[in-house]
Amino acid sequence: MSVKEFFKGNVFKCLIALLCVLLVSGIFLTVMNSLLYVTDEERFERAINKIYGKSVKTESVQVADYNSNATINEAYKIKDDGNYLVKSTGKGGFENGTVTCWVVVKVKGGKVSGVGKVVIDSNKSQSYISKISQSFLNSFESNPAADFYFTTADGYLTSGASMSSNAICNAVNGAVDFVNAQLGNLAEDIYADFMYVSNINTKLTSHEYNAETKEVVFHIATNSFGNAVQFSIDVTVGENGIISDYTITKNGSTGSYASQMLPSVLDGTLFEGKDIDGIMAILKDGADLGSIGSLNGSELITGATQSNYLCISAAAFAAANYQAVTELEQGGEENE
Amino acid sequence: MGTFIAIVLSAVLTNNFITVKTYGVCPFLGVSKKTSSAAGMGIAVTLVMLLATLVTYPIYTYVMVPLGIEFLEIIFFIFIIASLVQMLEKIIQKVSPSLYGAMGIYLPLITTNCAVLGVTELLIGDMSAILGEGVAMNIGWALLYALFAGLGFTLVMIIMSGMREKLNYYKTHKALAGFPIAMVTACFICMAFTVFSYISI
Amino acid sequence: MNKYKKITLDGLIFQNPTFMLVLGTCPTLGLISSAFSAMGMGLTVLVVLTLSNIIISALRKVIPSSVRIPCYIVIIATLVTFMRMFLEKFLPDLYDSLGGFLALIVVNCIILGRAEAFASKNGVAESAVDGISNGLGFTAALTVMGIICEFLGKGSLFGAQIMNFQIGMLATPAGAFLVYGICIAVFVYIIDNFERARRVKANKLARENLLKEEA
Repeated sequence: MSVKEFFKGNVFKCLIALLCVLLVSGIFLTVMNSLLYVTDEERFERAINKIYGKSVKTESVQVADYNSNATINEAYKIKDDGNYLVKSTGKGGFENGTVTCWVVVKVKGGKVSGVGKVVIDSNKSQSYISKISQSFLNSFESNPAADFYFTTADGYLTSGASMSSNAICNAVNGAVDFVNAQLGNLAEDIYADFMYVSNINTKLTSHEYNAETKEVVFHIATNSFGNAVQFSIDVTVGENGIISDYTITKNGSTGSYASQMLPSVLDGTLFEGKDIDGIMAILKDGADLGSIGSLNGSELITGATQSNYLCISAAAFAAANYQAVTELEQGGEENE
Repeated sequence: MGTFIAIVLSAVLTNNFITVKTYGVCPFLGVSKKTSSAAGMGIAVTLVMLLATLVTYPIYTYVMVPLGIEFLEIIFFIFIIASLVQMLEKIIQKVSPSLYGAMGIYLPLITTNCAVLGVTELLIGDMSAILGEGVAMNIGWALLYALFAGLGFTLVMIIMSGMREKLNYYKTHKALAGFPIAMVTACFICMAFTVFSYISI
Repeated sequence: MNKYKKITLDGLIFQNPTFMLVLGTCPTLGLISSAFSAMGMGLTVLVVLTLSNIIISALRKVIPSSVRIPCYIVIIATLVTFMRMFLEKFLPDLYDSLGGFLALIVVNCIILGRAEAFASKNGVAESAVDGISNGLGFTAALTVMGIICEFLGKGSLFGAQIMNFQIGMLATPAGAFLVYGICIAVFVYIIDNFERARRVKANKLARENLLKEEA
């Protein structure tokens, strides 16, 4: 085939047609791409707006952690209204998993004035996450807790997935703490230097000091552990650090595990009348409550060991820190 | 090793192309009347998926992304797949006429099979959910995923054809005959495959 | 005018791409768990199909027949890429809900099928009508199945919660197969009966005419 024939032949015509179509398509798409390209900022703004519910301008905020139960991943200050949008990962979910939420923290007059929208972003090993309903997430906004610290012990924050709910509460609390810290209002954690705090949610724990009887009533909120969610326990400690009353006000045992707890833990008789040494004597010699393994060999190993562990941790916290609390209170009086 | 198992289980069972992603349903319904043809189609699709990934993944990562022409991916990919299928058909015809007899007739159908384009598009997208944290995507994982996605496709094709062969022994209502009854059968296979969604890696 | 009526009716009912020809099954099964995404997919295909039909029928005399399929594929791929950019820019919600199926419109047999069977042989106006009617047939079928699946599977319609009763299985691929299969059966049954009635009527008319002539 000569060159001339090739240019007149069908093959050449086909090639030209195909190349023309390709060229026109390529040029058309390149033009369209430059016109319709979605920039990264636009994408980010879109994601934020979807969470926030309306179009807003944001400003990124440096993240830091102020709460041991949550990790702050990202945070933005909404320029329009001064609120904060915080992406926070709450610990203490099912099987020690986590739930990551976007939390809108409302700010008014330089103070946290409430929690707005809470949107679940992702989770780790929370198989019941689908049981978290929209009304559960809305209740953060509609039922603000005191100081905006939420706990699953509040009746309305319960769902079919108690472990995941706990992680979400932790995430929200972490976000509130973060914003408080940003605004310079973060309350000092008075229990931070206390003993046996590893299983205690110090943010949610409080105490009352009776100066006449020298009695201290601890309202202890524990962290969650394994399959047990937060316990709320009232412990009254008398002079000499001896526990005089031990009442579980909210049992964090999930499912049927509550019935498998040691009966004397459930009614508190195991701890009543004991000081810190007496409580440590429940464990085998040399165990220090540092981990759940320290319960090995004691009567606390039952079908609900994790719940027992949280309960004895609360008792140890109360008994061991009686002295510290009285010093704190008396120190406070002297200052006045 | 963890990533390997995760990819294999995800591609074959938990994210099966037909029963979960509903990619490649046309050949699944069209070529599943006999087990032999279903298996032939499945193997042909697996082969094309593997080859297409081998070509498209490097081209996308090492040519299109550096040049900034990612937006042309659909044209590139469909062209590559179409030419690959044509080439494969010619090669098989030359090298092994018996193999051509077994699966040659399915090859032209594969160009418009969404499973092939689907896998190439999927692999250039976000795969972090399957790979796990801290594992970077590379051509090896891409080929592994393509291979096992194809095998998962073949598995479901064979199951389906087995059930449809048995169905031939029964009389179905005129309105249900053909596609409707095939789809109800597929519904049962899908339901059986939902069991695998309980696998967590 | 009769020609356009026939094209429209064929695309919408008698040659309905979803129920009668069972084409484009992958996006159908993948997206009918939500009425919004099903309808969005239908409308996207409608646009791509109409444009590709118009372009291909306009170019039908220019493109040599031996390279027509690659040319069609390039044209369709261009249109799909354009739609993808357009949706990402202006309708990000729809873009997200269509996911991977958006790119797979390229290999949707309806579009290449109509290009090959209709647009390459007919004029621009007919091809446009054919594209619109087939696209509408596809959209209608997807929307109907989307409504069924979403209403029974999630208790909602186009995202708005209506009832608490839900059969979750219908919002999965298994339910999609089931609903699709049953819808085809019902559709084919109705069309069959309709055509039989029409045939019987025509036969009767013919016989009467014949009798009249004989008399």
